[in-house]
Amino acid sequence: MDAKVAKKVPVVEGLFTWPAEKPQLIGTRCRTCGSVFFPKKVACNNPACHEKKVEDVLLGTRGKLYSFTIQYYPPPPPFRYSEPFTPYGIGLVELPEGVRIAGILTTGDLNEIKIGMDVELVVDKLYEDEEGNEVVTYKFRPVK
Amino acid sequence: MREVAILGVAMHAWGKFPDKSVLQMSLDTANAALKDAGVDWCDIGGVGAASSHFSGGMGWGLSANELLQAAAMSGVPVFNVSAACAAGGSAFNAAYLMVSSGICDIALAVAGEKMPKGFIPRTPGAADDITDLDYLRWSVIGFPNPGYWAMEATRRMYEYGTKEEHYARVSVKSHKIGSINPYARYRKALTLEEVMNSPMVNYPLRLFEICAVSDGATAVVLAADNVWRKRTTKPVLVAASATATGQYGDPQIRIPEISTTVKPGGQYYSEVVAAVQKAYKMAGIGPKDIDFTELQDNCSWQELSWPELFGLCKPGEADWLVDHDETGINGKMPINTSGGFLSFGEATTAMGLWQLCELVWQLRGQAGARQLNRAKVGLATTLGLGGNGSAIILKV
Ligand SMILES: [Zn+2]
Repeated sequence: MDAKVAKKVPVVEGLFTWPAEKPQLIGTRCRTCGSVFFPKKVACNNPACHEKKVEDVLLGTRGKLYSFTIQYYPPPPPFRYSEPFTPYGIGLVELPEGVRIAGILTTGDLNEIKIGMDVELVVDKLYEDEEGNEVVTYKFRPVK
Repeated sequence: MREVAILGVAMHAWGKFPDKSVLQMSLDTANAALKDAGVDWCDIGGVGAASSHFSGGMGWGLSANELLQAAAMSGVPVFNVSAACAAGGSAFNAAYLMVSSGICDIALAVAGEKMPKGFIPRTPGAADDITDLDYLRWSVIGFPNPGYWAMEATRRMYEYGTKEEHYARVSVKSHKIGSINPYARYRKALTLEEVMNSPMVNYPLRLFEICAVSDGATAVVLAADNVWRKRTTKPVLVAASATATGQYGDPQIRIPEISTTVKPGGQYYSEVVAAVQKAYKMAGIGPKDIDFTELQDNCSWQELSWPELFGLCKPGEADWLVDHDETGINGKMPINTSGGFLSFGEATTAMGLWQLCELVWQLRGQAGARQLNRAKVGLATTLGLGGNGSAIILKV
């Protein structure tokens, strides 16, 4: 590996496929009723499902913005960010699997965030750790 | 089931009390409620206590035991109830079940809370991995509680055309009432301009539209009909006490989850709506019979959304009602005649019982400057972390 290129480390293991060219979120699907959950769950919570067998599923990477907020102040630890803090969007994104997922929006111009817009999953920098690694998380980016 | 009445209530001052223990606050408040009820510790046959509080204490939540060991080791049964911000309502429900079922004739429901400074910390001992949702929402997204409510508030603007000013007007209304409530921590009325000029915290919610945190304690004494009939001809009756938990398919984005699995017909805010619907059924009434409501205004958004979810007004109608001050003391749908969480600050687990103090004072005609013209039936509801809902209806 090129020494000048920072190593990209996921903020937490088991949330999205990494390293990957096209990262995907890792969820759970019920083998009985087909319900999809994120992140991984130990069972299906549909009360009508008597068989609680679940399996890992990779979620689709495209969705629509269902709602959003703008985070105007730095959240407390364990959240970490690159100084200086700049307000960022948090979106609630509806995936075709019937699950809505919260995640940071990459949009720089906060006025561009609109309910209903198409977004896609990306893996992007959260902060740089003490060893110089780039710590990455999943985020949603508007599709042009 | 026996008919249950509320004999007495008491509320500790609301604010910050660094030199007073939560036990002392709870004890002082319980003593005041016993005095209001005209009973003594030896009359109390059971205790329901909110236990999931931040101050820890014996066994991390043996609140009722701590209280009895301090004040009266009478040997009575207790329920230490953990239901996060719905714990006060759940503690009441436990006390109500003891009295209505005949386990005891008089019970005490009590809750005391001292909130940590600044942000609410994570549960100690949880792992820094994907099994801890609280870890995920902070480390992966940086998603604080007001962000969750803001997510719903933004969607409401999209669906109903609610404006940022509507959220501000709720705050103006609440602080106006807070300014005339001697128990309130924040007693300064705010103008629309002052609220709109307060810093944006989580778009579309501003600082003065989000409740602060406070220390507080509340206590309620309940009695069965064989007791209250001998004491009063004007009882404040418990028409209903119900709790519920979250349902599958509910589209709300629930703290601290980072996703929601949505199903057609899934009930929005199911834990609190189901509790309210159960309470209506138990009381044999409908939303039209409710004269006034205390609901959990962690922020302004709940005051617009929840009356609609409870059927108190039509979906989308709350904006108009707030614009025309119909949710105020002289309005046709009074909401949070106490001044709400916005005027008190949230002492999390104490709030379920705190709401009942306002209900009882209104129903007795003791609410002073905020007394409603008509107060015959009141509804109180809370929602707690983990999908806990409570609803209590009191009537005279
Ligand atoms: Zn299932």
